[in-house]
Amino acid sequence: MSRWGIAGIGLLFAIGVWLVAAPFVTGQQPDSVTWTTATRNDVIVGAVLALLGFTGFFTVLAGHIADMYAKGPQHPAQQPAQR
Amino acid sequence: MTRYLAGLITATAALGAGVWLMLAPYGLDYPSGGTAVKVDMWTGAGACALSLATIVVWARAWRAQLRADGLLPERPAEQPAASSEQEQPPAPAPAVPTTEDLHSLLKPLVAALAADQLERTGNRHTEEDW
Repeated sequence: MSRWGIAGIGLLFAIGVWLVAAPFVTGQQPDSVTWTTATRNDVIVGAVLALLGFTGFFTVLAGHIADMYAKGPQHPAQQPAQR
Repeated sequence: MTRYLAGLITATAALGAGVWLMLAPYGLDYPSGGTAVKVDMWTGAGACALSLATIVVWARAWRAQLRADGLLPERPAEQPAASSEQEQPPAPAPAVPTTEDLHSLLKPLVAALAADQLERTGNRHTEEDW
């Protein structure tokens, strides 16, 4: 279940990156011209989304590892006898 | 707990960003019909849908973990529909008249007959006296 959640956060990061690049990729922001309002908005919101996705991904990862430390080492139920 | 909370907070903030993206063309007066409007509307809609799905996934995962830890009660098992019919009280049996009921019904009839008989007998005696 958590894997889908992590994938969702990763996709949110990707949406943020797309938003930052979109004004230049789609050609709505010509080079050597002052940024339009739409470009400024897209870059700011995209950067916020990308930062959110980045922070969220690593916070989830840190929480997962903290839970693993709290549970302690997990031994396998049955180990084959070694001779 | 940290990971579930982080996932929920991230997805909720992204939902806010998605809503803002859909409102921005109107709030910031983008040139109508331009590429920027389409990009923002479609990207905002996608961000909203993805954020909602992520919120649902994290909420369900957190709830399952709380149940597994014993902090939330298990769901009660659904009872089959047939049991509801069994719970209904049985229909009352048709009332059978008792002997006392019959007595109380017949008493006034017998009394009326006896009075009638007495009256006839009295009349006969009167005619014979004449």
